[in-house]
Amino acid sequence: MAVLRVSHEGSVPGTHALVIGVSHYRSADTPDASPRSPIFGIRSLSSAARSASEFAAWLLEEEHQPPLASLRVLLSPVDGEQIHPTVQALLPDGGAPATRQAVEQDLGAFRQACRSDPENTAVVYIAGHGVQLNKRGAIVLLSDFGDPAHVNELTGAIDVAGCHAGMNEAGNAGQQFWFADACRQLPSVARKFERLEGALTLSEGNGQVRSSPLFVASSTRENAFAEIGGTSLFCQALLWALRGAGAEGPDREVCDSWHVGVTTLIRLLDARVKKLARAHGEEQTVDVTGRVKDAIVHRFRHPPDVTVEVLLRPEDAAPKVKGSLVARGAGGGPPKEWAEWPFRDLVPPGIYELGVATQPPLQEPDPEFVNIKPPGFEQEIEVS
Amino acid sequence: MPDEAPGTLRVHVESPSMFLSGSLPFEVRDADQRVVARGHGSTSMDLDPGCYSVSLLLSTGERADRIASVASAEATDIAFREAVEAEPPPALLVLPPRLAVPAADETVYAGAEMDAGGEAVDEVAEEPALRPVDVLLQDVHGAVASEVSATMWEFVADYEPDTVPTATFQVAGRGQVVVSLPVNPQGDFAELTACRVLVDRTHDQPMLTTVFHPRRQVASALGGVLRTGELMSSMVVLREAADLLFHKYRDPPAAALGALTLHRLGRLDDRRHWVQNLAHGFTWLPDGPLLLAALLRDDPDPRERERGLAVLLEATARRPLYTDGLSLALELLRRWHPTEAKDERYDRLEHLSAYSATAMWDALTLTTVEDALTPGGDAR
Repeated sequence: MAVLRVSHEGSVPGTHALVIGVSHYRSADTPDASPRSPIFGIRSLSSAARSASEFAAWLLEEEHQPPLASLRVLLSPVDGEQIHPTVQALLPDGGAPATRQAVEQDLGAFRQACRSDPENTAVVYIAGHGVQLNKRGAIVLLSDFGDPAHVNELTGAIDVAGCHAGMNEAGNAGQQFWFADACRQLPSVARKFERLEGALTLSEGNGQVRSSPLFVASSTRENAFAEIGGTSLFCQALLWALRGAGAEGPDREVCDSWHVGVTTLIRLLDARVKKLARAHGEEQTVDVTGRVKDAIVHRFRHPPDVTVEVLLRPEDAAPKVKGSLVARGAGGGPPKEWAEWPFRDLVPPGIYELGVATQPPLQEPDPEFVNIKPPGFEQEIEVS
Repeated sequence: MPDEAPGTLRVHVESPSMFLSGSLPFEVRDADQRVVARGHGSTSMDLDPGCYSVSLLLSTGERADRIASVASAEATDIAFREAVEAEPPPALLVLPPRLAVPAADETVYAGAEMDAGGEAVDEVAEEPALRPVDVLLQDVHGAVASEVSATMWEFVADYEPDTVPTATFQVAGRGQVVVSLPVNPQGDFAELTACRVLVDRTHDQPMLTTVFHPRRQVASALGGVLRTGELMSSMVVLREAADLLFHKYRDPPAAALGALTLHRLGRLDDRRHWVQNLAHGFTWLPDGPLLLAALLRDDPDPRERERGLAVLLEATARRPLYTDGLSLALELLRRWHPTEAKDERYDRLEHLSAYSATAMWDALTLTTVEDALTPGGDAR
């Protein structure tokens, strides 16, 4: 077990998290490689464990509501894979690999912790090779997949959708967020998995929780799953959204502070992941399923600053043009003026008046209202 | 400024669809991005003087944003107008349901006339409609195809099919691609039965996207919402659209898509009555029975659960229309109560694995790459 923090588990509502990242598959490349592995074509990945550690680090570094009460981390990195230093420093004895036994033990304890109070929040992030992937489910292979001692072929795997369904029961953490970050197999390999049994799952209970979306991210191949040596595209997109790009302003019906909600994640994640994947010439999808209700994934103490870029056309007009940005709202910050182009800065989100002052013979365009909000603002100003 | 009288913001929404004009949701935020109001369709509201942003969800699933400056004791109008989609050019070539497959090294010019030796006739070769094609339509089942342009085929239903209509394309770099077609045999006229397959050539390999004909406005809006991910913002639209599509617009394929989406998000609620009608009234559409099986799976009455299992086993013998229909089928087969008909369920999983292993999971309708299972695996 690798429990990184237990502050007040069981006594007051808290956020409980389970993070699993599997890059190293024992059966793939060790001297005692299982005869199963060549059949199933599973190779070790390069950054699933790192991606999971990055997500775990975000959980540790940010404030949560309710506060983080427990964080269980199981990582199986490959040699040389860079685990986030905050997480690495906290892992006892180098951490616990994500084997079936370890995951089953931690999953049971995690569920028990979540059941302690229906006001708890549960967060699950699992990354690795995926099989039986579709828009509604995923089975992620664990590090001891292919172990010849296993009775069933999928003993070394976790049925994420099954566990998600099992946690959707009256009395469990009322608000849950699940993320499955999986790499799809080649079609000839994928077909072999369809009839297999034995993946770790949870029995379905009675009743249901308030909200429990499951985001299923599936990539086409291993090289699309992660930037080699970096983190997975889905992890990048998710943390990009949670760190500010997905932030929305206060809403008295939803949340009285800046926040990232399920609504925004649904809207942003697929588009962002597709954009990142296509830049590598690959394809990746993010689907959402489960009990999908509007819920707050993360709150901000202060509005996140927004990257602003204002470009001038034609560029050679720059010596004769000055720009200005004046906030129309109370939280917009002091007015900004500039003579250097392009203008780049970080400003609080809001509606601003974007003005341009020109010298003759240039014609001064009318000022315009612009809406500066996450993930960023870019505008071209044309003078003539 | 608290002492100033409020002004009025009037939001005007015009859409070719009367349903959508009144249903498209918008939200109003103040200059600090705080939500101050929400509405659907054309609405008026009183607001303190100041700057506001109005964001409307269009029927395409995209968002349109406007900024309004509200003055004290005055009315400010903001208008959103959705244009009627321009009609596509007349079809270049109307194809019979079955075509001869061109030889691998043969260049086919759409619209070309060939002489006996297979050479393009010179004067026809000057026609601007001629171009090499990297996407060839090879076969159509259950619909009639017309090639509208180099980037679009249109398919209309001309009879009630017995299975989900499909089109088979030969796509450069991918192989043989089979696309399930969401045509609607219940449509009153051709365009209301039709769907389109669009060819996107902006990537390394051509990609095929299936959309409803724009005249199927509510269905198109549903497709747009799914494409852009605006699921939560449009939940009311989704629910009402699914009901409308079934009861009023008689568009069962689109209604099935709405119901599948609501079920995937845990929001189907109790629509058993019309899901039942969908399942029994349109036997060529297996996605309807799959939804019924999903609703019956957790019924407290064991006889209803047994009925659901029978419906599931029958429906999973056939190709679904939607990718999400396939997802639902797979999950139901795997997660049905463990002791019930295990061998039959796993046989069905084996049968469906021919689709699941080769499906393009990002596609709206089930789209499979037939060559993906050749030895050595990857057709791409």
